Amino acid sequence: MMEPEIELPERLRRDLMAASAPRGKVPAEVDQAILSQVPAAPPAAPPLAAPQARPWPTLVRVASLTAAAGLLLVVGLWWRASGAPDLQQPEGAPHGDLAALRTEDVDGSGRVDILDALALARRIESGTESDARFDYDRDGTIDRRDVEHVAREAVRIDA
Amino acid sequence: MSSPSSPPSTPIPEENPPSPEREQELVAAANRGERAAFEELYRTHRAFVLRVATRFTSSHADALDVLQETFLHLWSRFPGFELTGRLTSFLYPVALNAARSGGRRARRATTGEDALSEAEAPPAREDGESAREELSTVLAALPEAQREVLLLRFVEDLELSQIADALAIPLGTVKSRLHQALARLREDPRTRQYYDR
Repeated sequence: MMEPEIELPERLRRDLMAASAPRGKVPAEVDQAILSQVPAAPPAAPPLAAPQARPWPTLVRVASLTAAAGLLLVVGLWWRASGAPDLQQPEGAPHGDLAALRTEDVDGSGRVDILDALALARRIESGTESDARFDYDRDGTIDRRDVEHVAREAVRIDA
Repeated sequence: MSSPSSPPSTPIPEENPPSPEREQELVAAANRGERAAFEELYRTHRAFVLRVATRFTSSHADALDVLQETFLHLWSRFPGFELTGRLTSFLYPVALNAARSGGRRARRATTGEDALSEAEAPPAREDGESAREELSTVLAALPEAQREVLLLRFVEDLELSQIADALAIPLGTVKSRLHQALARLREDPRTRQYYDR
C-alpha cells in the first residue's frame, strides 16, 4: 500500500500521466511484427517408450547384435583352438552340472560359451525371445546388452 | 523497423495490466506455447513499455524499436521463463537497456530539453496547458533517478517494492528518491500551484 505522506494531488497525477503519454500510437504492423516472433509451441513430450522400443533402427540393432556375437565367437574359437583350459569350472568337474544352473546357458548345452551369445542374438533378432531369465541387466528388455553379458560370461576368466 | 507512415490495419486495443495471479497464469500458459497467452501479455504491457521507451528516446520511431526489442527479449525467455515478481519489474530494465543502446538516448535526458510533450506542444497557452508545460519543465530538471521513481509510482502505478525490483535498488532508496522528487514539486514555484488548490 502507498504511504499517506507520499500521495499526490489528483490534478498533478493526471498531468503527469498526460506529460508521459507516448508521442504516437503503435501501428498495427508493429503489433504484428512483434507477435509474429512469438516462439512456437514446444514439441509435445513423447509417450513413454515401451520396454522394447529403441531409438535406433531395427537393421542397425540386428547388425550390431550379430557383429557383437560374431566377434566374441571368433574370440571363443581362438580360445579353444589355443588349447586353453576351461576355466569356468574346476578341472575334472563334469560339464553341465554348474552350467545347467546358469541362465547364460541359452542353448542348454550344459556349458556357457560363445554359442549361447550367438543363440540369444538370433532369438532376439527373430523377435521370439521374451524369457525374463535372459534379461540379465534387468532393464525390462532383452537386447544387445544381454547378448554382451552372455558373451562376457563365456570368455570370463574366474579368479 | 516498420515505418509509422504505413497504413495501419487494426491496432491492438489497450488493456490494463492483469492481476499478479493472472500474470502468473499467462506466463505458465506461454511456457506451454499457448499463443493467446503471449498476445494477452503483449496487450496488457505494451502501453507501459511504450511509455518507458518514450521517456528514454528522442523519437516515436525509436520508441517503437524499443517496444519491439523489449518484447522480443521477453519472448526469447520462453519456454522456461520464471516470473518471480511483476512483469513490469522485469520489462522496465529491458526497455531501459534497449533505449540506451544504439544511441537512442533521449535528448531530454542528456540536455535537459523537454521531450515529454514535444509532440503535442499547444499553440495556445490555456491555463491547464500552461501548467502542464511548467510541470514538464520541472520534471525535465529533476535528476533522472528521482524522475523515474516518481513516474513509475504515479504514472505506472507500481508499488514501491515493484519499483525497487525494477530499478534493482533498495526499498529505502526508492522512498528517499520519491520524497526528494515530491519535495521539488512542492517547492518549485512552477508546480506549487498543484498543492495550493
